[in-house]
Amino acid sequence: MEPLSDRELQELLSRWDAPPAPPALENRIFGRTPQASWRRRLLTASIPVPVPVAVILILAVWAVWIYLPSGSRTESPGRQRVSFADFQPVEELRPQVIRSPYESN
Amino acid sequence: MTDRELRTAYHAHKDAVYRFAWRMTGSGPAAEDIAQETFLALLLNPDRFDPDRAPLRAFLLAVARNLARKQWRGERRWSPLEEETYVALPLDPSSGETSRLVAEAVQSLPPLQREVLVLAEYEDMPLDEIAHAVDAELGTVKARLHRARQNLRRMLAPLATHNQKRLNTQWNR
Repeated sequence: MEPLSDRELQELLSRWDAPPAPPALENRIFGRTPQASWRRRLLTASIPVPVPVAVILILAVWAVWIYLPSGSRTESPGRQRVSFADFQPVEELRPQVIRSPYESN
Repeated sequence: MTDRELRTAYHAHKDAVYRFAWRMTGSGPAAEDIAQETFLALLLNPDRFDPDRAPLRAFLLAVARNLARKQWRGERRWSPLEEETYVALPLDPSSGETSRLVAEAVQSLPPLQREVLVLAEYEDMPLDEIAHAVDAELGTVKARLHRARQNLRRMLAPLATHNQKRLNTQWNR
């Protein structure tokens, strides 16, 4: 029996076909990739901001903080100031001692 | 690795990975499992792939090869992977179709010979990429490929003779 030549061997090997990947494989892989919940995504999400934009934003916030009138920074709009103008000093002190009924004298 | 990058890698290499696993295991479900685990390994450990060392296909086939080997070890724990002294016997050409006999011949090779043969003959991988995929020296890969081809020549020789005889008979009619 004569040994096979390279060409004959390759010709025979080419007879054995393999099937392509089945479509279900894609669902198996991409269905199993971990999908974060919307809450988790909300907490861990990040927005890429270019450095120049970030610097401008920081400077703008700083400038607003510096140039805003100091009164408007400390006062909250709902709170009223307390004035002592209407208070008057007491004219005569009349102290009254209240004793307990169980005291002897 | 983003979802889009994984999808791109998947569509580019899914058939090569699946075919390799299918030829190594001889089973569709096992090949699906191996292909799935291969792409998930890329998703979960993308840093293991170094494009400076080898192309993505070689990396994926290396992962698939390790998974197939793990499965093989699980099934045939006590059989050696490499059998340098393994001598294949000629197949009986009248026992089935050519494609089935070729499959039988390739699958009867020892795994270390089979994997280099499948990568070289069916995936057209260059020898240096095969060496990377099977984690072996180039010389070792060449030796395994040589032994695999010798064994196949021995096993498939009756098939070629049988086919030639059949062709001659048809021609004379």
